[in-house]
Amino acid sequence: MTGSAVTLKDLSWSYNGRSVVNTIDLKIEKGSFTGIVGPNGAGKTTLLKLILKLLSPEKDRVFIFDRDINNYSRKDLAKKISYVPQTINVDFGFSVQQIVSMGRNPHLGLFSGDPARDTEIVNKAMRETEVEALKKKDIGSISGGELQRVIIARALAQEPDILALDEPTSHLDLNHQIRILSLVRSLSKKKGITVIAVLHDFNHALEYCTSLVLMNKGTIEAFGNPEAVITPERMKKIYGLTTSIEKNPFTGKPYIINEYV
Amino acid sequence: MFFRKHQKIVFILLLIVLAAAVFTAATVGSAKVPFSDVMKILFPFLSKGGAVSHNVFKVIILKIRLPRIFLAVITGMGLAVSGAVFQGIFRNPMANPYILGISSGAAFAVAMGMALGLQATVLGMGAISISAFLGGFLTSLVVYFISGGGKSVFSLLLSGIAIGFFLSALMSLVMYLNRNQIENIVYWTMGSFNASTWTKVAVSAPVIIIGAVLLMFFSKDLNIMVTGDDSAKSLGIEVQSRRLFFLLVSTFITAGAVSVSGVIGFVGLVVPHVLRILTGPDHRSLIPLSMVSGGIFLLLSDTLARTLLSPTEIPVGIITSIFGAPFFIYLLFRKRNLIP
Repeated sequence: MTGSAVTLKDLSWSYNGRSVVNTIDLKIEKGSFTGIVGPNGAGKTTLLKLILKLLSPEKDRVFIFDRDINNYSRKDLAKKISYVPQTINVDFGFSVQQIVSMGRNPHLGLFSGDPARDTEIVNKAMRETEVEALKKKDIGSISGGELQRVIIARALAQEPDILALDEPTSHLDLNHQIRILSLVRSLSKKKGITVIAVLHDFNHALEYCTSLVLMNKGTIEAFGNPEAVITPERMKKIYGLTTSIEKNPFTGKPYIINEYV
Repeated sequence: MFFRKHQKIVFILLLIVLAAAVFTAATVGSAKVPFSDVMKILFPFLSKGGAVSHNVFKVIILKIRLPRIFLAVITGMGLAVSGAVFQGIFRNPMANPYILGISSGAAFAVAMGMALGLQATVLGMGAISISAFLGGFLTSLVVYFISGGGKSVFSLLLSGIAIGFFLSALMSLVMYLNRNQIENIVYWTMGSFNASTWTKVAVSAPVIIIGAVLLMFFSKDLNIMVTGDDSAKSLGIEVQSRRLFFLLVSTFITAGAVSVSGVIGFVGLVVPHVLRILTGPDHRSLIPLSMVSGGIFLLLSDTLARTLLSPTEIPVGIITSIFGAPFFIYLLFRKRNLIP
């Protein structure tokens, strides 16, 4: 095996007999920003959950750094890969700092620990995501964009090699969508973290991702360079929409526009 | 235990209040025992010369009031601690220790025990206490397995409600068919420390205290589990097994409390809720702070229960609900921002 961050081999998953992910093979390169796109029900979130062991895949199907995910304890896995869910429960009045500190959990023993170092890492994570000023605030009282940054800070405090995000921009306005994705991209570049993100917006995918997984009906329709993956033919086939790929005058990257029906 | 500075002060203050409440409770009651005699009885090594004026005072303090005081404190501690844990597990600050049907299971078992006239004793505990413990504990286990092994807290909650209604109906049926026992059964469900003994203290205290220590040991994980199952798993917590641990221990504690005192409401709901508002949501501090506060709250409630209409006693569950319910309504309004 070569040094991929995540390797999937003949991976399938079904809920109550309904196949959601169907015989998928995939290698996600270390250091890449890999987007997972596709229509609703294509199996994107299920795939992400299998990579995070939030669902339990069979033996020899999912490998994290060439090691079967079933051979990792949850704690060991949490040191390698961290998860940014769309949201978390905010009802209990934990402060931003308390939430970000939870990211240190996989590194703590029951009795051992280096509190000074943990504090330093937590502070750094809050600085990098620009939530330091909020650290005493109740997470129930901050905005959606701020909460998303706090969850990313928590994920960074885990010091992961892989960051897995589930539609990180779904509750955000355009400005915050772009700021969050830019933040993730710069962190990925700076720290060499592999990013795997379920995304909805094709223009975000084209702009930010270094490689793209296009899913449809539980299988991978296309995988590779974003510009090669997203074509008007595939968009017609999967979404039934006529599209045109243009060039974004601001970044020079491809930009997709679609007909309205 | 993990306290930040101001929490340490709160904890010490609460311990002082608890001690003061114990002395007050030992002094007041339908028999008028002078405070000086109470002190002489509690601290015989301090009283040089001056003897207790009546020997019967010794019996009243040592055999009647003190076991009752201790039992109220221990029970209050247990209910508050398990309330804090259930609220964390169910990610709902309105959850309470009876959410898995412990109270209706225990009440049904007690009704059966009374209807059948059970008399056996084990470890000095009467048949009714044992029925209550087993009824409560087994009901929670049944709820756990019906919900599919606690895979989701939502199915646990629904199973708890369903089984609770079912057992309450069965208890009503038992009462209907055994009308001569209705009074006893109803009194039991209102909760009372009327029949407190040192034996009950000796059996319930270890269950509740060891349970509370175990819960405190893993309270850091509960903080993380509050954020959601997937979120906690991704932070390295084995959610399902940890949840089973928390449910087992806090069910054990609750069943222990119910078995010696009947069903006492609102302690396990209001005490952790208030402490969370006042001192923060971190379970490492919330559990010990709730523990001491629960002891104080139930001791004061029981003291009111036996002195308000003295010599008649009011069931303590009525007192806790009379004080707890309006306070709870206040919290609800506050949550809806109707009260600033």
